[in-house]
Amino acid sequence: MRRSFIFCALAALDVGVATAQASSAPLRALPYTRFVLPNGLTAILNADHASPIAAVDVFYRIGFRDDKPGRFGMAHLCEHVMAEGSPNMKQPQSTFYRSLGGTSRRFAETSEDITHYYVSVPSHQLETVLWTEGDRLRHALSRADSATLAAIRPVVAQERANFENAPLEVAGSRSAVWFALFPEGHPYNNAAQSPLSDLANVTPADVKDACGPYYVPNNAVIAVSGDFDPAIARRWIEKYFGDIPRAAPVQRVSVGASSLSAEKRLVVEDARQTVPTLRMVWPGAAYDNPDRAALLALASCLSLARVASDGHFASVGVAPPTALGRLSKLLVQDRQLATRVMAENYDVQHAGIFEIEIHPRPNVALTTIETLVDSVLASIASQPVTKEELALYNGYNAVHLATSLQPRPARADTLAHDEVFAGDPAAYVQQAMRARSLTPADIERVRRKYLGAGRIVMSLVPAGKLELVSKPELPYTNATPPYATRSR
Amino acid sequence: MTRLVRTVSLAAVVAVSHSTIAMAQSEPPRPPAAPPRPFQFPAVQAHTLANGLRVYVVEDHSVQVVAVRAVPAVNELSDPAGREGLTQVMLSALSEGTTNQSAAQLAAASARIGTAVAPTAFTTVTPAFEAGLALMGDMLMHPSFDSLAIERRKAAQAASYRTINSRASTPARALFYALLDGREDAVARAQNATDAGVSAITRADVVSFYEAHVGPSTISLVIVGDVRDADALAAATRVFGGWRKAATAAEPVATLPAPKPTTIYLRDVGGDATYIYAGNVGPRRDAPDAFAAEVLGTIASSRFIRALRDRRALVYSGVVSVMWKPASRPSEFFGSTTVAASKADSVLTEWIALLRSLRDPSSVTQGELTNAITSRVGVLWTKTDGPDSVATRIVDALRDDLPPNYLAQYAAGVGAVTVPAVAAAAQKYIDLDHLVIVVTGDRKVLEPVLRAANIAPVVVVDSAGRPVASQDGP
Repeated sequence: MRRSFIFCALAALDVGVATAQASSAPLRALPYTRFVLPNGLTAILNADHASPIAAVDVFYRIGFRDDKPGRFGMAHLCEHVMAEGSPNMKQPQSTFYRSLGGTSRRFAETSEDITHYYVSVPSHQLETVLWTEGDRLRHALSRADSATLAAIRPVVAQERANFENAPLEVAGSRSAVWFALFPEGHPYNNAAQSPLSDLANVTPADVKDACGPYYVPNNAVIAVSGDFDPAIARRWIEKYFGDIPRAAPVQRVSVGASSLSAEKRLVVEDARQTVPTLRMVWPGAAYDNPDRAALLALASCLSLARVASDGHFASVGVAPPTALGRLSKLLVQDRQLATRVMAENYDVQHAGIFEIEIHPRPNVALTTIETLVDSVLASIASQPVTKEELALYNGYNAVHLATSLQPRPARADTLAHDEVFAGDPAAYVQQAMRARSLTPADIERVRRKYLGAGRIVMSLVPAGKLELVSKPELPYTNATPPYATRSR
Repeated sequence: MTRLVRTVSLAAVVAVSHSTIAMAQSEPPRPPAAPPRPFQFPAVQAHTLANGLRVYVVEDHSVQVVAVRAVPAVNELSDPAGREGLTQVMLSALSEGTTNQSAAQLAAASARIGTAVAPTAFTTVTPAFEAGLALMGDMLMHPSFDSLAIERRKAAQAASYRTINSRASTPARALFYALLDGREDAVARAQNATDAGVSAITRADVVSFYEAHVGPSTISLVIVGDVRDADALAAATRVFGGWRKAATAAEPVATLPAPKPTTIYLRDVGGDATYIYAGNVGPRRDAPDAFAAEVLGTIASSRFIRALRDRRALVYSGVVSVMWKPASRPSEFFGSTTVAASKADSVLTEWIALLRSLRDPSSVTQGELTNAITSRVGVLWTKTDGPDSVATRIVDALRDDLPPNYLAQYAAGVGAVTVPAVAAAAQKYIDLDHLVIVVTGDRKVLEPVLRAANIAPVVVVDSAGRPVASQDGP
């Protein structure tokens, strides 16, 4: 669920598209060079000399969905092993990178679909980073020995504890939705934070067997953005990755579509929560699904507040005007029933989640909120989304396209992501172009197609306050994670 | 047949082994380090309008983007006691309507240029810069402060505090600041803010706070990106030049209590999660040894991860650093982490040993120092990657009463730090006799473990830091 608006809307654009009125001007992708080494490694280079930094992002097609039953969490464990260094790197790569003046949000992450390793460094250190990443791949999982695994397990356990101690609003309740949407046996059911018992007896051989086939050049994409000469960077990539042998093609488990035939009502109780939250979720569109643009536009028409989640607002903490968006206007502005409304289509590689999340004011009944949300959604049939609303959406998109791709790490991440998820490093531009041709009829079509009766309605309430559940007379499942009652 | 296959397989294995050996021998060596490029902060053009409004402009024409920030001379440390959240409510209420435009009209105008324009910030494409600036100006200069709008913003601020206070780490952090700075200090009050305080805020509070503290002489305007200096200044003059309004900065005064002997303050919050905050008062931002303290923090943090995560696997993450405050206030030299309750004693023992070793004058090596300096300075390029990042860095500096191009000084200052300077900073700012150590978690597990470890006296406290009865007796 790491992809959302930010990554649908990353691009450089021509000056003329500054305003919604001018949003028909052509969009322009980041300039890049793409090549594939004989061993199958895909490389994407985006040179830009504005600032002397270089961002490197290496994606491997291995994620939670590749975990096998009884070994959930293996892809994540392998990420930790891969981050412990290599025969020629006697320290964790992150420690080494910091000593070069490098920085990264996390240095490595595992999601449902991929694992990636990323860093930004002063550009004179680019060759060293490419050597390091080449060494990481060349000697993949070389640190998978008993001592290292014994050291990593408690660290992973503490990471798991951090997840469990995060507010359920942002962590546990989302997992509950995820599990309801992707039932047991579905590859996306593999929990991001899996039972630690699955990893208790993992041996070095288990690790290598499980992940080794994925850490091969023909299963990797490297993207580099920043201040470098593309010809020289290409030579470095050939030098440090080129002689790593190609391996057998990776066979990943196929991912079927998710669907819900009827409404599922869930309740999550949180001892730390004092005001309830309502979350309504439908199966949405995957990243490369042509319907994704229309669903994002629909989300935007319901809640333009999501633009306020941009990084620079997070840093200054002062919200922009929020009186637009049908749900936001009704619930936050006019009726003053909620403090925040978010609508979004989150996506992974082969699935999506269309979600509406409402944070009511204290003492406002979730039942009231749910009824109003349903009435707004139903009213779209008789009061279709207008061309003006779509123009506003595309206007925001156009500006966001330009502003979001300033940092080199975002560029490298976007290019690699789109190569892996859509087979085209510039897929984001195609998505933005597709959004521009949307009509009100397109929005109505996806509303009917996706926002049907099969959905999840989740009430997140203070522990023990089940009377606050939305429409409590309807049957529901209490999906409170077991750890939430134990650890709070 | 079987035999033949076996032979072929063996041959293949041998061939692969040889090839592996050959490859290992020919693996590309680590490339030599390229010469670093000295850090340069982009040139900042400073102007002051006739009405006192300061304008800082940085030209960057590499992207067709302009980042604009208005930096008021108030922040969460300016909130009056009992009105925590007032600054945030006042600033966000500016977007809820002006004497010229309703909230809906502001939102529509903002949407028409495809830019979320907040009263203190927006980032947009070049052609929308002036329209965005005009909107920002209207919000800053002509707020209507509609009562309902203020209630909306109060509700949002209260929700924000509820979210913060639902995080497992909050009790430890809030208690740490309350004990270190004193509960009445502005920093501690900000860290301990609740939705109850927000409910006490009235429209009159908002209006008088705005009238007292927001005006051209207390606002700095930062414009970074694809706009010429002269054009940016002209635009700022057009929007703000006619603004006449007296205002004064809110200057919270630090009132720190005298340090107390090192003590472990244990607060029972139940549950599995244990959070530890430990530290003491650090240098002021303008202290001569501030850069040495900064490097010391980097070295301490690196050692922390190496010792507690890489070697002992006691923690997943953690940090030790200097938490800088505005130049008029001392910083905090502290660290924080989360750990399994049963390991809290081991973590603290390792942590204090680490701090003690840093106080040894011969402890820090030249190599360690070089890595720390490279780390601190090298990352500055990434921190100034594009107009948004540059604008953010300037805002950070101005909020801390530092010059807008402070990072240039910073790079030079950090680059000049020596091993003896770090050692001296360690002696001065790591005060093992006066550490405030806060541990929150399950008292049943933690109290016996911490008492048995005999690291420091253990005092069980409530959320206000007041001692409560020990399990062993009053």
